[in-house]
Amino acid sequence: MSVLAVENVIAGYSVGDQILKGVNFHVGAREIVCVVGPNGAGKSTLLKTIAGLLRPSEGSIVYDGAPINGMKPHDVSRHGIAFVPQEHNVFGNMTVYENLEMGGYIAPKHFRARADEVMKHFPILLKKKTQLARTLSGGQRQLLAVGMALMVDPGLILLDEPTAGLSPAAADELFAEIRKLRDAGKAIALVEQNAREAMAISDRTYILVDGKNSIEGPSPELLANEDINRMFLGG
Amino acid sequence: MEIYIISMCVVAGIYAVMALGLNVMWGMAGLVNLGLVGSAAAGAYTSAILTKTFAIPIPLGIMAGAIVAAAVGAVLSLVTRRLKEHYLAIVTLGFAETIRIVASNEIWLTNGTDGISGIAGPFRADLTPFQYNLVYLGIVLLVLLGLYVCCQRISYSPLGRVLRAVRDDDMVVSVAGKNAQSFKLKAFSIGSGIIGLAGGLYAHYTSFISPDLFVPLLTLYVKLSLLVGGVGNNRGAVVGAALIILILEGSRFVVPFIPYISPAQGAAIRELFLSATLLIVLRFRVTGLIPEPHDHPVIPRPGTATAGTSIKAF
Repeated sequence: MSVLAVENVIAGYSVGDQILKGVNFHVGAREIVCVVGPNGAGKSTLLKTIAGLLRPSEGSIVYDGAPINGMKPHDVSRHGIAFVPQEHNVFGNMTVYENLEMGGYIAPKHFRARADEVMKHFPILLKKKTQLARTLSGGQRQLLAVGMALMVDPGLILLDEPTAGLSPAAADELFAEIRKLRDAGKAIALVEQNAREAMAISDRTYILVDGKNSIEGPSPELLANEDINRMFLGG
Repeated sequence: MEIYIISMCVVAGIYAVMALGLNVMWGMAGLVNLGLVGSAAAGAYTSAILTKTFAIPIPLGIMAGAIVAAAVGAVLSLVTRRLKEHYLAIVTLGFAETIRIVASNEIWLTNGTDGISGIAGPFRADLTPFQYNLVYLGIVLLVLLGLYVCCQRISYSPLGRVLRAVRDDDMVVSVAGKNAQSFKLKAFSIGSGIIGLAGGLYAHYTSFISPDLFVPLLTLYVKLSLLVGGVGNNRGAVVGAALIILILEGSRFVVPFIPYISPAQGAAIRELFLSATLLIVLRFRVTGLIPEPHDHPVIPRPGTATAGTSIKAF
């Protein structure tokens, strides 16, 4: 049973120039699904389309049994999908705590308890609670962005290249946190350039090429496949 | 001379009110509105026409002016909902000109370029000009104080926080579950309403309005006030407005002492003083004289903590 079902979605930034040319994509409960592929394959576009930032011209997106295609981003997030954009995903001029407040709009009554919970989850955020977000390191900023997403207690988290620009150590730490979220019951869709590492922590992988599904399957299986290694993972 | 000084204080107060309104739009929500005079004109004309034609009390007229200006601002925000930054600035500039041209041509309503004269002022008939100016200064300062308190409340409220977030990145706001568009609309209406109120105050003070009062230069003076005072800071808006009027009017007395210039050159030099002030302030204080505060009402940031909450500081 999948939480999110994307069927034959066609979407793009201008009419006649589609980026996604009929993508199918499923995320099951308590599952990390990783999307990899060459540059320009439509990985980020897929997440943006699910988050409502882009309107699909065809196809359907169903979340938790309800169609969400064509919804505005704020409505999508109210349905329980949290999107963490690739960059500019925190408010640099606000404190860490204010950033968490920003994430907590859907359940404003419980946001304080929720913020405490998120900060318990990411102790570094508690330590830097009153610091401006722009003074955080790249890795801490990504944790804050994920923390903001968690404020609404989403069922599904969409992460767009969370480890872009991070040191290998910080990336590993973030991946470990992502696994913990999965173990805590969240469904996660992850777009990554760090393909190997992302596949290593994910349950299933989709390889997108030129806006279409190319290969999909359980991550360990794909990682073990020599052809895939040669074609997509650089040896 | 006393009347002149008082009346300049009144004008400074009205500028300060407009700068507060602009701060809601530009300082808090990051919306560059160059159509301020349009809102001011809407407020001034509404109040002037209502009090003159229907003889309604002045405070009601000014309130009505503010409401009409807020409504006009809301419409403007809807029309420009896909525009940002420079594009928004250009369209709003055009909007203000449209309002001015409508006021020049709809003679049945606005008396065209002749303007509306004899607009009622509070207790004008019972007071000497000196007393009247003093009373009006008191009214303007009271209004300014009230609006200042309101704007401070807004900037520390959740609404203010969302507006700042919209300013920084409206995409993150929408994925965090807020309709960024509706917040832009709120900022535009509140800001335009405040500016419309300033327009009404001006109309009842001078008792005369005409379309050529509402030229883009006025917008730029207000924008300059906020820029010099500190974008995003309500105190900065007030201080900046006072400073701009001081320079604009004060330079009047300095110019005669500059040798070898004609009166026309003297007038141009006054504008030069203003530009020089702007350049100097922006060279040494990019964020304005009083930069945007970075404190939080619930959790003070490090360094801003008060004695009660942080013992370590001592």
